[in-house]
Amino acid sequence: MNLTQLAISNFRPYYGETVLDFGAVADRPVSLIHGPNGYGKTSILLALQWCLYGHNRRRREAFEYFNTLARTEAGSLMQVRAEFQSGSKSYTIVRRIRGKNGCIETAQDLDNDEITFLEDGERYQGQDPVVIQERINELLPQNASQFAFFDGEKIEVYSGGDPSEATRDAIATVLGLHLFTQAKEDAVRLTYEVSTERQRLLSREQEHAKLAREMEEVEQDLREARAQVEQRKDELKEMKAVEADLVRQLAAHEEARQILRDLEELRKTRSDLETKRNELKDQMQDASAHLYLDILAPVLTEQARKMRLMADEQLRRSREAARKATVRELADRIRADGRCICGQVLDDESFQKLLIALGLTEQDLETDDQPDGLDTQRLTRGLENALATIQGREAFASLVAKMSMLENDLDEIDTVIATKETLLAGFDEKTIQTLIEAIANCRGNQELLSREIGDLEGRIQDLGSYRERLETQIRRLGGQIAGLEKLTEELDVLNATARAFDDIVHETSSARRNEIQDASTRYFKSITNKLHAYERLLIEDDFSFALEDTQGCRPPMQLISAGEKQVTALSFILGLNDFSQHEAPILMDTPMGRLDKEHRKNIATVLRDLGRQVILLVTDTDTEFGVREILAPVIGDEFEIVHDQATLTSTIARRNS
Amino acid sequence: MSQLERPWGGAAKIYTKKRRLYDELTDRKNSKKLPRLMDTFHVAAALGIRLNRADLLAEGPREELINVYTVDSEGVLWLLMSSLYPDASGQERFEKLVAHAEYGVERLAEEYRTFGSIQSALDRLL
Repeated sequence: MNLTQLAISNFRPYYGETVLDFGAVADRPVSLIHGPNGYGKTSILLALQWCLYGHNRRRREAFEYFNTLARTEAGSLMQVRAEFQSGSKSYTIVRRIRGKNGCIETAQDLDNDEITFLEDGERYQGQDPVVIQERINELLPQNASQFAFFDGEKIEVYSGGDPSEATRDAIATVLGLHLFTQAKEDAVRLTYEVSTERQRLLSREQEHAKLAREMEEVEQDLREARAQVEQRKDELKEMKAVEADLVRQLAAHEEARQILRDLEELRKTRSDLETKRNELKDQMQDASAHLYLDILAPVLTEQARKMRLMADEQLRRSREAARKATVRELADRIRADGRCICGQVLDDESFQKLLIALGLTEQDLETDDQPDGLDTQRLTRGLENALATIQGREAFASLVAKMSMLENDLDEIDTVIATKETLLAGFDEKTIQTLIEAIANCRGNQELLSREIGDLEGRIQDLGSYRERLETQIRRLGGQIAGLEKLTEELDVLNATARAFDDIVHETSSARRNEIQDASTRYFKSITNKLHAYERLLIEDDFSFALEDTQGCRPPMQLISAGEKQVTALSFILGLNDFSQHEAPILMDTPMGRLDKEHRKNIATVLRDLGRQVILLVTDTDTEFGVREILAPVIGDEFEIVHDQATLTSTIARRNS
Repeated sequence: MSQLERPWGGAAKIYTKKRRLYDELTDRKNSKKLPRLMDTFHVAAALGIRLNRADLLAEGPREELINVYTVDSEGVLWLLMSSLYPDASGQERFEKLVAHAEYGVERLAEEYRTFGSIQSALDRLL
């Protein structure tokens, strides 16, 4: 693919439109564009790159590219048009950008850039910018273009040791491996996506399996609960039948039951009487202790009466004795004084009269009465108190009578009980009691069974609801994991595809590496002036390269000179271009900068014999030392950059050979 | 020591020649008999006093019956015996009390055997 025309308008120093027409390229593929430093050689390289790939979405870059004079003119336009010819096909690419309104003072004043693509004069697929850019990249990918359009003084970066990831990608693109790489990455990405989805579905499948197991357990529980309900219902039915039978048996014993009730009542009465008898026994025990007083009551009464009389007599006698003692004392004093207490003189006769008057005898005057030794007063009080005690207490006889009646009652009750028990002889009291208890137990069991049935039916209902929820979840998950098998197959295919693409990339890359190494060594040997020193240019699998000397040693690239690095890099680029899948012209900006005369001549020879379009942006010194002469047979178009120092603008004029 | 403190002349125990009769008339669990030997002694003595009869205590072996200090806890017998025998000493009154009882228990036993209960025997005797 040759560049047949490049038209630059208002781009960097090029004010207005400048057209480079490479009409002679078919016969003479080398074009020279001369220009001193700072006149606009590199701008041509930049213009071509901007035309093809834009400004990487940075409007600031476009603003800087926009010619400063043109920016001040309303409605001005920056545009680059490149025309290519590849066999019978022609491609025209036009990129332009303009200000939004009036002058362009900042990047924000610029509108979006526009691109037009014509293929054989026809607009390409509706001019969608994205589609156009894809098409341009098909013709010459942007990262591969660095090996076609480059600054000769900057290519030595390729010889600096390990290439960057971007460089390796660019090399892969040049070799057409990027499609496989891209396909492999797509396969890996798809593998990851499918694997992620599969993992998600596997997780769902596990959940589904877990739910299915849970469902089985619920079903089992339901079956068991239903069986238990049926069993309980049977038991309940049986229990009711048993109860009916027991009730029938009990009815047959109804008469006996009445006797039993009577017996129960009688036994209670007897128990009450027994209690009373015990109480009476206690009372009788107390009465027994005082029975002797009941017996002695008449004696005590008589003795108390006697003692009272004796006590009264004793008192009377005591008082008489006291009186007599007093009178005797008085009489003794009167007799001794011979006169009365009233002063009258008393003779014996008068004294005898006085004694009679006092009721005393001569004997009384001579004897002194002494009281009895028995304390009748105390005895009387004691006996009377004892009698009072007897009267306040129920007599033993009365208690005996009561006890007798009570024991008669007890005897009667015992007789009745014995009679009843005789009547009950045909019946078994224990059996009746057992029947009653059995009926009660039966009813209790029925109640228990009914409760259990209620509980079980509640559990069945709960389990049923839970089962419905599980079914819903299982259905939902089942729908989700339906595609799992297919997804697993897809994953296997994708893995195999990714491995296949990886193998292709590896094998192709390895094969191409050897070919590029041979071609690059050939170019290197054509350019270098140290043929005796170096054996070959080695290219590793990662496309880093080194020089191998005749001894088989590989000097570190950082130790060789800048010029040699430039030669090595150029050799590599030329070798790489020999196997490029994209046909493109080589546009080299000042390729001879650091090189000596011999190297320049050797490069010129190589370029002359290259057999493809080469556009060289050169200073006057680049073409010295016979370079131009070597190239002369293949130079088709030659241009001169003319610079206006007043306006700082450049134009390009065709130079006559 | 005063008479009140030693009312029965210092006797410590009551001895009887009719212990068997006392035992015959005494049974705590039988309501037709008397519960304690003391009660039987009291009833026998009271019966002798009431009937004003006594058996002289003949010479010969006698059996212990009860302690004296439990005989008359309420003091009624001492009052009665003092009023009945004002000129007797405490010892003499005690001996008379026992003699009354010896008579009384003999009669009570005779009647009990006939009528089957103390109360019936007493009803008969009194």
